Amino acid sequence: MANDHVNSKVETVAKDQLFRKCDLSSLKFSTTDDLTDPEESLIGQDRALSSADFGIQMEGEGYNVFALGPEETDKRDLLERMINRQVAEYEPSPDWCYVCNYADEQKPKAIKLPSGKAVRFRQLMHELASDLPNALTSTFESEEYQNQRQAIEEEAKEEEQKTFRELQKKAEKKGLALMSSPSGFTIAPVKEGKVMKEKEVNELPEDERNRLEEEVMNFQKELSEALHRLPGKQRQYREKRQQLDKEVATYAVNDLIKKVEAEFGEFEAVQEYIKQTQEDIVNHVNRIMNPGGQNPMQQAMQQMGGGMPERDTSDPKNDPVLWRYTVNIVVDNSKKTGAPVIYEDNPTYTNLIGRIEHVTSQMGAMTTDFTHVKPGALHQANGGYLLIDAFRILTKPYAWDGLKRALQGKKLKIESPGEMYGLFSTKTLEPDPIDLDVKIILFGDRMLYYLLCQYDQDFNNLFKVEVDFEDVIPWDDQNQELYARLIARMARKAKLKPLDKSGVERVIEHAARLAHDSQKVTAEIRKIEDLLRESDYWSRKNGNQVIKRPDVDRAIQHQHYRSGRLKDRVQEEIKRKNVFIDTEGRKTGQVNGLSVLSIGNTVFGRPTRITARVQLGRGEVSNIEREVEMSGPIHSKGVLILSSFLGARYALQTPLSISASLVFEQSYSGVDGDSASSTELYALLSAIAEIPLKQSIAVTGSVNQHGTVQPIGGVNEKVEGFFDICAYRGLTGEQGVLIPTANVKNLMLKDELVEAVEKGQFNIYPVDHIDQGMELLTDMKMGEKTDSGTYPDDTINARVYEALNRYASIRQKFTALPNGSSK
Amino acid sequence: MKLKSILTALDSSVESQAGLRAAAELAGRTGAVLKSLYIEDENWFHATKTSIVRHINRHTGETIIVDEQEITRQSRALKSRLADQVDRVCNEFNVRSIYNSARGEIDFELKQASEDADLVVIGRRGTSFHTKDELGSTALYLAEKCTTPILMWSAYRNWPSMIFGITGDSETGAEIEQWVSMLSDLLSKDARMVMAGEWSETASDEKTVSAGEQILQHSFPWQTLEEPEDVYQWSGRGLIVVHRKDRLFKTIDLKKFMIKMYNPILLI
Repeated sequence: MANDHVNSKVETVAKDQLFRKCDLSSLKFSTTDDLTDPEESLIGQDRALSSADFGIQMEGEGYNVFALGPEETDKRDLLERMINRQVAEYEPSPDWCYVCNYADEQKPKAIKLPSGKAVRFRQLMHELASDLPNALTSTFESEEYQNQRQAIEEEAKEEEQKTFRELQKKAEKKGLALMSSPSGFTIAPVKEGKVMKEKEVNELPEDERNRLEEEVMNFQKELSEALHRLPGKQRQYREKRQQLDKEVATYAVNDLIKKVEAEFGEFEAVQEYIKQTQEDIVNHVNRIMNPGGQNPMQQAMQQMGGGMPERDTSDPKNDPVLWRYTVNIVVDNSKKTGAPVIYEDNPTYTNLIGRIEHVTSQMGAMTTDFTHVKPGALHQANGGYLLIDAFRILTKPYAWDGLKRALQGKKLKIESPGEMYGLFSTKTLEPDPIDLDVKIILFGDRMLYYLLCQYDQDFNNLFKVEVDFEDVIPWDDQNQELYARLIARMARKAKLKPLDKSGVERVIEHAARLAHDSQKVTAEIRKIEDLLRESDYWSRKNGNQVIKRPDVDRAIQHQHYRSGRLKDRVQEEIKRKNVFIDTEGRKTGQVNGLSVLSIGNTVFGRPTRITARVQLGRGEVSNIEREVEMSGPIHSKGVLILSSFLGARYALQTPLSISASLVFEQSYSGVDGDSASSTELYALLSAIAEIPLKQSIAVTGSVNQHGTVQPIGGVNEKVEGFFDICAYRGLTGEQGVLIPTANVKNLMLKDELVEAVEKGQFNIYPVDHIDQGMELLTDMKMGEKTDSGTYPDDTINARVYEALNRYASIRQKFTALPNGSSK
Repeated sequence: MKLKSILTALDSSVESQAGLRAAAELAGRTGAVLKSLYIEDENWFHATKTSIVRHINRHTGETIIVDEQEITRQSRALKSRLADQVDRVCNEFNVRSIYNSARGEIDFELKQASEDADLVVIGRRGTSFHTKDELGSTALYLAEKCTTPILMWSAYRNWPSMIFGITGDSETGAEIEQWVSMLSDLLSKDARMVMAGEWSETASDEKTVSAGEQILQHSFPWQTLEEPEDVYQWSGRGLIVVHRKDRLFKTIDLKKFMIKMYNPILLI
């Protein structure tokens, strides 16, 4: 079988492939001030834009939007602007307010009014409430009312007194007196207007005394009967008084009620409310006029004496009685045009659903009423759009459940989480639920979206529109121009100095480095914004009028410097030879691998020594990291692939009779990923064939079962990590890195590395197959399999093949039975 | 004219409480001391010692046993409760107050106490029923037996919007007008003088002479009545100020007048 790669000579990567220069010479501008804004703040996001447009306009249950993608893509800004453009065409959403439910104060009523009407409604009710005490007082103090009332009182009194007067007259005729005392009524014999003393009674003739005694007894019965009749009569007069009060109160508030009715009578809910308000006022006249008079006697006294305390009714909300007639606006759209677009940056349960506040009364008890019902973001956004950060809502207790419950029920019911989960049974308000018609725009990162899809059964039904933002966008001529205009817009928006062409070019080049790709630029524009701000800082520091390439360079370098402490410490350990990394000479079963460390804002490459040892065995390649549970599954998979590769290439006729072990030397933390699998294979082949490998070349790339080298991530950081060590020890021209050919397009290397390669001091070798790598590392031919199934002498394959056969023979010998057969 | 002390009689009735408030408000507006008097009727105690007397529960109509100790206890409780009410009302109107109690015959004790007061305020329709059966008997007693002005206050009323002075002769008319003037100023109410009876046709000139400059300043609207009986058209309207010795009451009966006019009446 002929392998092309065995015969191909590996050339180092060409200079122009190490770093893609941005060239804006075709774009005519001097500074970014000459560039116009792009139409959208994001470019190359056609899928996301189209999805967002669909999600914003699509009506129907569950067509809420989840915008996913990296945080730095500024999804919210884009979506908010798209929505604002859309809602301008919509009718404003209605206003909502809560009013007292007179029949059950615990259940405030919700009233829906056309946009902007609630404020006027509140004003009218406020005026009504403020004027109410005066209107009632003046009517109830009027001579006409007083006379009518007095007539009823007199009639009642007269009837009562008539009864007792008659009783008294009767008593008098019989020589008795009827007295009222603190203990009750007393019936006593009298003489000359005074109660007879015992002595006087005793002096009476026996007949007379007996008569008096009998008269007293009989009179007592009459009095008892009269007393029993009294409550019924008193009730009749009380009803008469109440009827009079109702009629007078109805008349007194008629004008005030009509004023509200004239403007709001067309709304059925308001009409009903006004009717109930009038009834409530009529039923609570005394309380309205005498809010403090809870004691019936005090009330009577206040009524009679006109000694009402000073009362300020200008703010009915704070009045002990008039608050009932105020209006609590929870949604006021009077100042809005179009449907509401709300962003809730702290989506706690109460900030979303609303809350019922409590106040402490003078006695220390917590009380509340409908005026303390506070709206949430869902109220404000009702009829429009609500934007929420998915991570934030998921980390706020009960908020996610509360949101889903509202969306599923299409009702906005204000209740505390304790009530929602049935944890507390304390009596509180139960405001009328409000109809909910809102579109939720969640935004978050991809992992969150996929986790929600996986684990939340309601999620897919509630968020049917996925707006997926790209992390990177193609770096083509068209996008390059748009990117330049985007940079110009960002600089203007942030009030930064303009960038000259070189500055813009450098920013775009850095955008490609952030994308880890010379053919793409990052879509994480917030990182670009930060770079622009920092470049502006250094530009000012340098006294420049415009931001130039050196300013951008300085900003990038300083970013690296600020976050580079850990990288410096790691490299220092290598330089001081506490961590063993050879950059010259040859070693058997040992190769320099490259890994990437990513902690916080720091991402850097670190060379790692990987070694392999071989002994007689049953074909296992053991991964020491895995044995001690320091490697992840992807790494373990890569190691297993090595066994497969060895077996397929060299052990088709004899069993693979080695036991090999692989280890990341001086690695004290976990390892994952398969980017070192080619490295491990080089070390393993070297160990089996006992061919030393060049230590001046570091290796990265994953490998498949056929030996094909596959691309890996972080190629720039890996290459730069090894280069830094070599540069420190002195570049020899022998040093270099093997990278997968597929990663060449990802190269966006730093200037000094590019310069070293240009001068032939450092090499980057793109390899497609493991055989190319082995040849470079050993300066030996790999050797192509002959028709006889063997390999040419002095080739790597031949050495490996022979070694494996040798191990197989030894194994066969050891496992042979006494009669010559084997197990 | 200045009121230095106002006396009001207290018991548990609504009328008495209304009288207390009216008295306190007047005291508050004039700076007078409010004297409140609670009288324990001697007859209550006599009744506890008489074997054939029956005591009836006010609410149930059942017979109850009341001895002197019990009536003393109940009376003390009422006295204490009334003292609290006096305190509350006086605090409300910011009035200096003296609260006293006495034991004896109600009319007599009240008459005695009224001699040290510039004005007596009592609730109309009597405090309660006692041995006398006539309505407003205490007021009538005081009207006849003492010389101190008496304001008979009707329960269930606020201060009326108008004050009427009703007179049948010039001498008492001047005194009436002084009171009308004072009350009008104190209470910020409209006032009017009414000349009642045939005499009134010739009395207007005399009034001007006897009333003096001070009275003239007020120059209330005057109204004359053809017949003294016409005064009853003001029944239930405004606060009425009349004089015990007015010629009017030679034509019409004072007692009848007081019963028929259920307005608040100031009898001077």
